[in-house]
Amino acid sequence: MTGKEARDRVVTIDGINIHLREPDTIECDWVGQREVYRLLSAAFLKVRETDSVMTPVLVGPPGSGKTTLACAVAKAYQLPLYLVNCTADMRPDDLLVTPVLSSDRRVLYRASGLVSAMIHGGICILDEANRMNEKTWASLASLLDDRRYIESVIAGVKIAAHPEFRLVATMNDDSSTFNIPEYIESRLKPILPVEFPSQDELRQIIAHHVPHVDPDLIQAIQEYLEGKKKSGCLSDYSVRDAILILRYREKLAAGEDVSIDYVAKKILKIQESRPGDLFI
Amino acid sequence: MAEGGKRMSHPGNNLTIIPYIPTIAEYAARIQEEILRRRRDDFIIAVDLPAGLETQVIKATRQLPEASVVIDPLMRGIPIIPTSAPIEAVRSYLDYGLECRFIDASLPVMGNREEYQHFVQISRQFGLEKVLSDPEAHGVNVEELCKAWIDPALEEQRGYPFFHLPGVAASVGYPEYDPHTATPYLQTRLQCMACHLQRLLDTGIEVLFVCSESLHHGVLHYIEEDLPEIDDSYIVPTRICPVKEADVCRITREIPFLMYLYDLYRDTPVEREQWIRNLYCGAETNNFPANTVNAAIDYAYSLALTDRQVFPDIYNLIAAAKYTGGDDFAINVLESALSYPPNHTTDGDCIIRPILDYNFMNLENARSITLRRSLFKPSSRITSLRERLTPVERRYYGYTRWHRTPESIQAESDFMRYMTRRYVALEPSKEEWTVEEFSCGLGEGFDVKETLRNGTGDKIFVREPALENVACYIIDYRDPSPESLPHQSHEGQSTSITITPGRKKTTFNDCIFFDKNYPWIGVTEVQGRHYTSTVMVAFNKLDRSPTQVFYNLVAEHPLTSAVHLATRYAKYVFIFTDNRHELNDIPIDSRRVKVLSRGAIPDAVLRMMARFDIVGLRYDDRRGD
Repeated sequence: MTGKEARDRVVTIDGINIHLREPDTIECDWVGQREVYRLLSAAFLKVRETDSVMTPVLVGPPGSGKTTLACAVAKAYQLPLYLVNCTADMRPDDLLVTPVLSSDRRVLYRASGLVSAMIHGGICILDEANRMNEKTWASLASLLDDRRYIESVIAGVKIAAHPEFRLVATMNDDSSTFNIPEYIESRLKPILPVEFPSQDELRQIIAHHVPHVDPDLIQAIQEYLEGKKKSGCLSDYSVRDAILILRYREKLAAGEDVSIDYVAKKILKIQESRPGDLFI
Repeated sequence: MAEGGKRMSHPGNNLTIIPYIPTIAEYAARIQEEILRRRRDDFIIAVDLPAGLETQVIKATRQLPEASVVIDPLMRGIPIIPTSAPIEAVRSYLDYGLECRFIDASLPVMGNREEYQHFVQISRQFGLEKVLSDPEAHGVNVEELCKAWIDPALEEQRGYPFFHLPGVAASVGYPEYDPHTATPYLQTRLQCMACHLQRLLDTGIEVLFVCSESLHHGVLHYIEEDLPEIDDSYIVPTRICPVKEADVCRITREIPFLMYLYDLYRDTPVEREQWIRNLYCGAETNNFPANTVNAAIDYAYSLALTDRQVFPDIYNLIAAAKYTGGDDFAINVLESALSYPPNHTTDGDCIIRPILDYNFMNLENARSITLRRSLFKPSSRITSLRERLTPVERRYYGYTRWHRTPESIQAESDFMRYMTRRYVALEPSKEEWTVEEFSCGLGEGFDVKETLRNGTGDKIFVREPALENVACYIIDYRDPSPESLPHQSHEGQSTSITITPGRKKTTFNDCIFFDKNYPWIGVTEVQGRHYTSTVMVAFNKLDRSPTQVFYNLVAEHPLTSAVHLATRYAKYVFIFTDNRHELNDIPIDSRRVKVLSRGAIPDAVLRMMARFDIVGLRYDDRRGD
């Protein structure tokens, strides 16, 4: 690490040294669904100086590619990327600035990925943002509106966001999600649905992530999953599931023929169909 | 308003070309401005409209601002709208008595020019009807004649770009004309226009040529060439189709409401930015906060940029409204955008399908977006039903305490253990804390007690709020009613629980409560000592005794009254039911309430609380079972 790089990792705000986090390096390519890509790209644009910066939210079922989409757009903007995984027990200082004890018993202030992105002018992805509790969301209220700063009570500083800083949240729309406070919801716009890709797009995505695979095998896996879904043996499957099945099969096969059904049952909960079952 | 313009001077110095992009208001405004500027001069307006259709076009133009379309049997149309640049030229000609010439070719066929000329010659000799009745006998190859030689590249395009700045359009939209790749149809038209234009230029009078941006390079390419005479005297029959207000958007890429504003303020500059703001603000958006409207407007411009546009078209306007304010907001904006009052009362027998212009480009904006209006505003019937079901403070009638069997008590513990682990809504507790040594983060502050207990050690302890599950569970044990499951199967093994009334004994519904382990309330079917659950509500925590609330359940409407009760006393509610239709009439906050099917709970767990028995009567009011 050069001296400049080391210095860039520590900033001083109001006399308080804050240690920043390294940006994440995530390989992500977005395949297909150009419209939602365009919608997210547009959300990061600022046409006029007086425009407010938007905080888009990507909503969709698990495994539909929300995080990948956010990463891909961040990559296109060539801004450093910070990924923050939100949890139900996350506190405001976990999300902002955390005091830690150093080896020499001094208190150091470590910035989260969010604050590091704010200072460096990067893009921060709040993954699974709807799992955060209200108290933690409240600490972001001033960041999400025109004020564009956060206040760290722990460190006693106010940190303003870089003009290029962008924030995007991803959320699952399942039974484990609960409410975001209304005053926060009003600041989160636009809300972009990320849906399951079409079968053609799914084929392209799988081929992209698992190259050198026979296209017929990809087709067979798609047909298998769709068939199970239609027969009610499988409630749903995601893009991630399809890729995992293919990858796992490749590893298991090693020259032998392994059935898709055998592999799929290791990855997914597939029920066997029985006569007389209710189809709900 | 866009400034500048592309003017090209002919070597003879008497030609000025004003290019336009079809149906965009700024170009029509420029045409009007140019014509107004020159109206005292001696000049001819040449427009790229098919020669021979003057009567139809002028007749329809006189009806403006009422929009219509002049259409031929080949589904080629000329939209007669205020924001069409050539129509604005015709309108100005009518207003100021100038001279105007239509110089495009009508061309009844789309194919080979030689084949077409032969067809025209034969038709003149023998009569059109005779030739068409037996074309082969007259040496006419109908297939070749009618083959649509459309540039494949054009077929892939969505239509004309939504450019508002002519300088930008010229550099971004259209390449120079290449005669080697142009279709025979296009070549024929361009040569025809060049011929007519040359004839006008040879008169020495100033010619103002209003031409589509996609064509003027081609016309100039042929203008000095020695071209054979093209016989375009055969005019394809056309008709004027009235257009209903809802169909106006199908004949133009311009936003209909802005088209109306253009006509309303025809003599003033186009203020598109202000008009777009008016469109959003005037779209019955009273129920939407101002920041939502502002965010939608800003987002619409950002979307336009990603489409390489300066101003948003109707698709981007609606998409921005949808993703910032929801579908209802977007529908309001759409209805406002599509309104075109001059055609409000227009009716007719024309069915407006996707129409192409003479370049075979889509006239309408071909992108689509799905909008769903949220469900009804409650009618008075539903409002009164809701009032009936809303828990009213009922008079206290007393209760009786009973012992449950040990098995039942154990089943309750097992059931709640499963549910509290599987369906969780964690919130930091206000009463319970955990204490840990400080290493990272101060949590909820120092725990002085533990720190002092540590004595002379240099350890500091901090408090963390313990997380508690504040979810409430409503379990509907009733079988789905016929309305909710049209394909209910009664054959074979069913995965649903069958609740049978048992032997013929007197049964009645009763409201019950538990307060031993967890606070429960519910509606059950009672037969002696046997209780069969109908709808049960299990709280993790309840801030009052269940005895104070259980009587608010309504046995005739167990599910809806349970939902009212649970949402009143619990922050988060999970509802497990196969009778979702009963919840249609009550407002449910999806942020606090999750509705799942009863199958989300495994059968073995569900059966735990399906039935219970009582063993004895308690006469005191101590904490019972």
